Amino acid sequence: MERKRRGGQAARRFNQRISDHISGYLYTLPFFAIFMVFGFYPMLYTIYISLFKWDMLGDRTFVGLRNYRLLLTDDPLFWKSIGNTFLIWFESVPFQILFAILLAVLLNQAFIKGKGVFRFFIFLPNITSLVAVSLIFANVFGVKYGLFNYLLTLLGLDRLDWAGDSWATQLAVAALVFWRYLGFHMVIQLAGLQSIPGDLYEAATIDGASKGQQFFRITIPMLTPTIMFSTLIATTGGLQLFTEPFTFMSDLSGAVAAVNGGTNNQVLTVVMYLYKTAFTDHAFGYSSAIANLLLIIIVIFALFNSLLVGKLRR
Amino acid sequence: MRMKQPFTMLLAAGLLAGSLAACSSSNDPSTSGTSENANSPIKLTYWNTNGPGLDGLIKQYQEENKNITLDVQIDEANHKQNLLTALSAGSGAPDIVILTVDDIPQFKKEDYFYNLKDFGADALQKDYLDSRWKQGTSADGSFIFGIPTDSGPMAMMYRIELFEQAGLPTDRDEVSKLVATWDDYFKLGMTIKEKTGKPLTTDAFFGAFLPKIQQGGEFTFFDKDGNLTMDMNPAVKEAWDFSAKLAQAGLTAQQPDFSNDWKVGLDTGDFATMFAPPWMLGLVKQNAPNAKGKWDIAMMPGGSANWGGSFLLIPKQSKHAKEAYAFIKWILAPEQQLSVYESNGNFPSTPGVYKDEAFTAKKDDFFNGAPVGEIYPKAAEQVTLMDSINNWSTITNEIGQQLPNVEKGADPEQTWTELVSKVKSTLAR
Repeated sequence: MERKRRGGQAARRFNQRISDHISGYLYTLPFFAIFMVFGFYPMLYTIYISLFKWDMLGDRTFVGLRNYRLLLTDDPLFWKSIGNTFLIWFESVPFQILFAILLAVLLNQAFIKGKGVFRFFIFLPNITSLVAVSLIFANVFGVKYGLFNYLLTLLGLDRLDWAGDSWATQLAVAALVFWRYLGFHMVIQLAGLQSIPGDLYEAATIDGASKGQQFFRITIPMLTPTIMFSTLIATTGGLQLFTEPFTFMSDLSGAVAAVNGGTNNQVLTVVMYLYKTAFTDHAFGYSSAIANLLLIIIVIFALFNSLLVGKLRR
Repeated sequence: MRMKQPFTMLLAAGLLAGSLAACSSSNDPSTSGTSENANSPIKLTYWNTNGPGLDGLIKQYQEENKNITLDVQIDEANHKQNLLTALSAGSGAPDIVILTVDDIPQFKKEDYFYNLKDFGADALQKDYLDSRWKQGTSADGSFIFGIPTDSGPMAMMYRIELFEQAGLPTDRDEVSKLVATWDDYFKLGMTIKEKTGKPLTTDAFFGAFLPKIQQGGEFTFFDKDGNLTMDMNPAVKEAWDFSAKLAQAGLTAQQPDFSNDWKVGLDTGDFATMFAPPWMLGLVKQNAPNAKGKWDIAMMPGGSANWGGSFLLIPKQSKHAKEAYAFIKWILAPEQQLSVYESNGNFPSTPGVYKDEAFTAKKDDFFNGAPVGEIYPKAAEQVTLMDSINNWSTITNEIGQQLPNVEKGADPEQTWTELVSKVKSTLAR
């Protein structure tokens, strides 16, 4: 009797475990079904297409790994686009995160009045339409009639060629990226700050730690995961940069400059190059190969980032 | 979304009638589509863009043909990409699609569109400008891909006060005589530069290369079989050399058309001339409202050239090709093109209407009262056959990117050599 009942219990428990498992899978099924159709399958298809020479309207010619070979050995523009992407990333992201932390700390202080207003205005660029933002920036950085060059001439300096000079154009785009995403990162850092328990600071104050010591010994270490998160988001976003330079260049000097990222391809990012090879040159196999190489680069970065986070956590 | 109901009703009707006509091979368009019952409701999907100003006519057509509903969809930014995707996927293409002169060369693949010749489109050819009609057909003219919408014969806008300051005539006819050839145009630029310090034109690409290559004949970048000839064809090199010559002499303002600096330049008169098709006049008014009365219009050097305009095509996926063709034929007929000209100023590609009173009398106050109704028809008749095969826009994109470097002092010969090898490797991908 005893044993039977216990056996029944065990069986019930076992059944319960199975159905827990199944319901768990059922809960995640919708996401995975959609991901399979819209994420995983296109990814596999991109790999397949990248083995062909194909203009989308005609026969595919199987070329094996030729697209990859050309990209890696015979296409200076591809390397240039990778270089540009990293340069623009480097000119915008570190400052962005640094500024976001400083702003967040400032706006987290008790003595500041009207915090909500500040937060709103700093976050505003992030939700402004990009088309409007690029138009404004193109007006600021106009070569002949831009606000910036006007100020330079007032100061008796030479105009900068925002459309043709490599550094100038890159800095202009980096400034756009910086300004646009600063608010987003600030909000994330604010959330991080507010999750630091207040009694840590109280204890530190009682022990006689100064504000500066508190910042470097408590705030920064406690913020590390949030900073890492911000960096990862900014990096994956930065490596896929497209719309900002594209719309900015098209307002600044027309469609040709937008497609090519300027006269020296100075702000041609990897995704812009992908777009050009697909929709201007109609080389879809080649374009798919670029997409796959970009994926590999992003994966490497994400792995590096998570390793770093793991190290810092310990 | 395709409406299922009418389709199933039609199918049922077809089965009831027991006719097999609807099931004949789709290669014979005269019987393709479901046309047993002329009054059965049919929905035509039409992918449009914002340029050609056909909206009023689309409404009118639906009122006159109660059984036709036109589902007009506009996605300006992704128009070309959407069409490419739909064609290569084999589903999702509309019944009617519009393509610009820049885009159509790359879409001239006979497997994807109906040959409008099979509907009798060759009978329409006489109504249209030869130069525009040919852009919509295959190189040998045997396959008619699309019928031309409006067109863009170019004339030359010129800044009156700069001509005055340079001691040049400002009368339209005299200015036209002054720039009869491209050499004259260059000389004029030198005079203006010397006397006023102002450059002659906007930039080397729009201000010289594009118009000149459009006057370079039917086969410029490619021969009729589609082989790359840009490095062998003297017309291409000539256009390049001339653009480089203007650039090196400092006759270009480096304010390329449509850029922000260009918009301001129109207002302040930073360049003495600009090549403008009729559709450009509206853009000038929009971007430089204060320049009223400061620009006038004369003929351009070397006759004229066409810049812009579109075509209406019927993708092979359409189930209502016959109805789609009837619509295209109507909406692009000369009298409809004339009414669009009256309401929107889009310039017809049907020269028959140029003699019309409503046409010839048209003057433009903004451009100092220039008789646009006389200038543009005269220009349109001088447009020669133009290049319209293969990767036209791929190549012009590369050239448009390289010319600014020549303007900034790069060596034109070296840039040209690099350009050719770049184009070759691009086309090999």
